[in-house]
Formats: sequence, structure tokens, C-alpha cells
Amino acid sequence: MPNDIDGVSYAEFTDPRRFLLRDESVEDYEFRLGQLLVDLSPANSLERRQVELITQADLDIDRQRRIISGCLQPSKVTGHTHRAVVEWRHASHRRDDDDGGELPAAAEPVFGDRGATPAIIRACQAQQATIDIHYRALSEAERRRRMAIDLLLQLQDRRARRAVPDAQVIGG
Amino acid sequence: MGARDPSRNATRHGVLAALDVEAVGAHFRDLTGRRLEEICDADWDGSTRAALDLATREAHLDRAHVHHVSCQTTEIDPDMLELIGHLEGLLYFDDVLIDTKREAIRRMFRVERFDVANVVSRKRLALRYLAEAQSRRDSALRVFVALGDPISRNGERITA
Repeated sequence: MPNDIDGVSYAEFTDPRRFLLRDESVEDYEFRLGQLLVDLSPANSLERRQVELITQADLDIDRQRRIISGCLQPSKVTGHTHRAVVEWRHASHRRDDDDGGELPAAAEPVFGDRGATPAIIRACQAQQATIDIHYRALSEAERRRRMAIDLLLQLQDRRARRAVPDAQVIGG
Repeated sequence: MGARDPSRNATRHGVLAALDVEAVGAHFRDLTGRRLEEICDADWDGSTRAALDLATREAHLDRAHVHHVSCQTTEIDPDMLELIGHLEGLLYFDDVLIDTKREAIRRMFRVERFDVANVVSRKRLALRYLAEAQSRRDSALRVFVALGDPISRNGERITA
């Protein structure tokens, strides 16, 4: 990335456009990376790479949570084929009844609606395999973040210890 | 058509595919401050080899990560969408027998189930390759740090 934001140079980091999805933005990623660079104070390229990996794992955790949440929306109970068939049946009945009504569009998510629980359970059952793999990806991303932080701390600890001069044996 | 060789999966998903020399070279330059082409035979000591190994693992990790992200979209396969489009056309076509429509619907449900299973399988493989790439890269980093940046105290030296 050629641009510098708030004094942080992103030139040495991997271009985020290579690994962002369409609903994620380069600016948000760079803001998150910038915050972590400030908080964790990496001093060399090895440590900066660790911070980059922490940011990527962080982003992946949010991504997996978002995908799981999307899978659990009541509107996801039906697959594409199911929806096509339901629309066709609806159109057939409408033609027979000639009531001219339209099939309601998939509702936008509403928060705090406890009555939606049965529909969420049905969505969960309908997409069990997909949700399972995303929960696995979520726990794997959390593990990657823990490992990356641990390695960064080891590198920084090593750097700090190297700065301490060796003890000199006097006399003897 | 014969059975697919499962050992080709890793190549197909990029983890064991031929290395991108430029990506390895960029990581090597970040680690050592030197270009890969500048290293002559006499320079290949333990720490330089460790740097090259780490650069290679970093390039693998980047690739596995990009592949993992590319598998995360929950969008339906475009071919599947086209099939569903054909089904919709068929359903609204009045000359087609209702039994034919019913059979088409039944087959589409089967194909869609297979499509979902295929997507989940790809995600599972991508996740496994990412975890492996990360683990190998972390090991290479530990070796590189210990060899290229030895601490004179506390007995943390590692010999090549």
C-alpha cells in the first residue's frame, strides 16, 4: 500500500485487497492495523509482521462471527431452490385466485425480537454443516491470534534481554 | 475418468503449488536486507538458510491465507444459480407436465445439497492448509530468530 496514514507506513505490509471480502474495507483494516501498531510498538520487521498476522486473525474472527450471524437469520431457512419453488407455487395460486398479492420480500434483521427464536433454530438446522465449519474457523482464528501475540511477546522479550549487557566477572 | 488423487488436493488449493519466487524474494529482503540474487555460495550459512526457509514459509502462509479468505463467501455457485434459473423457466412453462416439474424440483434439491457439501468441504480443506502453513511458518521463525539473532546469555543458542 503506497499511502501513509497518521505517520504509519503501510508500504511493507501485504496489500489488504488480496484478502478482504467485498463487505470489508481497506480503510477499516488499515485503521485496525494502525491501532495495533501503536499499541504493540513493534521495533523491527519481524515484530511488524507479527502485528500484521494478529490484525489478520482479528479480522478473521470478526468475519467468522458475521458469517455465522448471517447464517442464523430466519430468512436463511430456505435454500435458493426452495425459494424458487415457493415463488412458483405462490404465483400459481395467485393466478388461480387472481388476488394480485406479491410474495413478501425477505425481512431485514430485527434485533431484540424474542419471537424469532424458532425461526433461528430452523435456520441453524437448515445450515448446520455451514455453521459448524464457520465455528471451527472462528476458533482456529482465535488460536492463530493467541499464537501470534505469544510469538510477538517472545520476540519483544528477546529484544529487551539483548539490550541488557552481559555481566562481567570481576576478580577470581 | 479415474478416481482423483487426494494428494493433489494441496496443490489444487495452493499450499504446495509452485512457489512465487518474487514473494519469497520480498520476504527474504525484509528479513535480511539483502536480495536473494546477491547471495553467493559462500554466504549460505545456517542463518541465511533459516532466512530463506522462513521467507518460503511466509510466502506459503500468505497464499494459504488468501485462499482461505476466498473460500469464505457464502454466495451460491454461479453454475448452480444458472441451473435454478432454468428450473424457474421450466416451472412457469405451462406445456410441461406437472410430473416432469416435480422430478426437476427433486433433482435440483439433490444438486443443491451436493453443492453445499462441496462448499463446506472446500472451506474445511482451506482451513486445514492455513493451520499447517501457520504452524510451519512459526517453527521457521523460531529457528531463524535463534540462529540469526543469538543471545549471548541464558544458553539459548541453537546450532545449524
